[in-house]
Amino acid sequence: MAELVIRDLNKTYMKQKERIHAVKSLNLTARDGEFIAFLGPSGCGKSTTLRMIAGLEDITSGEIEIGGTVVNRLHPSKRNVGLAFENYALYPPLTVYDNIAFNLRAKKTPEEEIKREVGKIAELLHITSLLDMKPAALSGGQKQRVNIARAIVRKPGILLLDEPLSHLDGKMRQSMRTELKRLHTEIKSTSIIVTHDQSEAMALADRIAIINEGVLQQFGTPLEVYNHPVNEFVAGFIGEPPMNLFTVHAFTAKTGKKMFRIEDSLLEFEVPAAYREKVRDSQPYRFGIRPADIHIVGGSDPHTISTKVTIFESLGEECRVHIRVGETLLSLVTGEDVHYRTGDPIHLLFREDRIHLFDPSNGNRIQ
Amino acid sequence: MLNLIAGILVPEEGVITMNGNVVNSLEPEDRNVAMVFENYALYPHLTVFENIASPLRSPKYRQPEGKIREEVERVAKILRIDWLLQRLPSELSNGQRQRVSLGRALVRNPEVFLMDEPLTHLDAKLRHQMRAEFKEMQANLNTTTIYVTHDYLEALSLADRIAVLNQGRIEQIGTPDEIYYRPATEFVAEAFGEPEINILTAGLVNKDGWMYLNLLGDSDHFAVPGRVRQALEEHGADTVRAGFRPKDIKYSFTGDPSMLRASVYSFEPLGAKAILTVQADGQLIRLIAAADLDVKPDQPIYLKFNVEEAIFFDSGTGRFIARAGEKGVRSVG
Repeated sequence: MAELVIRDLNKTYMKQKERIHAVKSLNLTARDGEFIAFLGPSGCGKSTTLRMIAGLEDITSGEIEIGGTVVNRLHPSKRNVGLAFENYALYPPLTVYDNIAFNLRAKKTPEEEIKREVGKIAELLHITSLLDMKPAALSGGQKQRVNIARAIVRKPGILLLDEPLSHLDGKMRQSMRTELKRLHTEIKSTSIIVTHDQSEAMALADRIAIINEGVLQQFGTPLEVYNHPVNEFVAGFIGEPPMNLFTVHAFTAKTGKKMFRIEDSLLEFEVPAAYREKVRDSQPYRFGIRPADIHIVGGSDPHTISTKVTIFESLGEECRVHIRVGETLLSLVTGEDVHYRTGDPIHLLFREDRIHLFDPSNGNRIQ
Repeated sequence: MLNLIAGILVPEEGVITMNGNVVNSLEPEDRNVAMVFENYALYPHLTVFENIASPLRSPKYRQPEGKIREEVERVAKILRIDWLLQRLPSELSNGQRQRVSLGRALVRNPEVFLMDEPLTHLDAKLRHQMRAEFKEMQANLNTTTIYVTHDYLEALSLADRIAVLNQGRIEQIGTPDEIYYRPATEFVAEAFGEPEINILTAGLVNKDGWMYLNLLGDSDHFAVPGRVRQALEEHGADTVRAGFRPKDIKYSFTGDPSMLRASVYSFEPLGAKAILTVQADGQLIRLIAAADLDVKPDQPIYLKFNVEEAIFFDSGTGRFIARAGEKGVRSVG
């Protein structure tokens, strides 16, 4: 177990005679025992950062400290990290037992201790019955368990997981996610997972570092990044179904009330109290509301919008209503019991305390 | 199966009919079906207009230019890509490309649409939006459509009826409600819904004139509703499989005698809700919880199973026996 500190980390490299700045002045600290996710679209620099921590990639500038020691110049094997990658890279001729034992044998651990440790880890990962099998006989999920077992048997200070679930199919991915979360509560090793899947990051991590174009956007708990995204990128990236994001224009109605009108539509609603002093007439704003934060209400008032159902979906656990607004759809999630049809009139209320407003010039949240 | 309908593969046995005519020996181009694939297969050097027009320029279906223009514009309007007609595929988003490939299928006025995973390529966020858009278009088309997907949400959302296939056989054909609420087999039940349904082995116990389920080492908490009881008695087995959707299991941290004791296994917040996995009698059970719930691993938790919503299966064959609730019973008229 160890704390991880990343200080002013940068990575640049040349690609086709062009300098790529893959990681830009990254600063973050993973506390001892914490589960951290690096989350972002492909090419955002999250894997590069993980590889710099592991020692598989040179550091251009900045420092990485593991358990109080700066590891910039240490060989990967001396960094006290355990690695599990997306592709399993198990040794095909060796049994599962020997695969897990491999690193312990390399460290000249006594066979008796190896047996004890492998047995313990195998139980933790539910692979005891597979120990005598060769990798070729295993399913994808089983291989990934062996892969993770091999990484944690060395009791690393930091466990590094690079998209460990991406190769697995839907059901197996979900049950492995549950197991991974449980595993962390049992081994309590500081863990970093790299993923492009926001639900994986939300489900697993104590804190999520959301990265875009090499820049850390926000670092917070799943509830923080979901409820208080610092900018439009985070708002749009976190959450499924995704947050509705629209351009709105502020104006003062004849009644004297401050109103928003949704662009490309006639939909208007009163500016929420919290923002009334902050918005200026005829200015555009980016307005965000999550599908679960829109309520269908019985009647109309200045806070609601009145419109018609474009599409209704009944999806078993929940229903979704979609309303066409210009080129996009406004979507909301409802309980299962009320069914709507295309063309049904409907009044919508945006939950005032769940509204997000962003500055269109830089995407930053308006507080 | 889609390839058999399209005529790309030839059946060894059996017949395929369209409008009452056997099409087994017809060439694909003579079947008047239009296919849309996962990869859009657009001509990169042709504009959107020319891509959509291409089937109307083939020797077989050649149309006069005026007619072509009219058709392409009609289809482009339905798909809301009429403002993109002069662009090249490389200038489009994935969602727009998919619409162009749909447009190319539409323009022929086919009798049957065959769609092979048309949304699979899109990322999760776009898929949610495109699925709804697809449904909007479908409502305007009124053409028989066969849609292949591995995504149960697409099937529930888009289809009038769903055929669930497993290893080359049809497990069930039914409306989305029938499939979700009255699945023909455990396979179907597990294929629809996320998190997955909890299917547990249950003994049937008669006590004080009531029938109870012996579930998770407990036989006091699961009285079987009357309607299901009759079906289970007729079925005759003393062990069945009982399926509970995650949302049909409620939890509490202050137990009362009507609840079953379990312990927290793991907690996965997902924004608007969370998946709470608990352990009881050595088995894992998935529930839906609030995302801001504060739980510790191994903490005691008490469960209440809504037996009214349970789905019962034969413990040997996995086939549907009964469900108490009326949901998914096809309404007449």
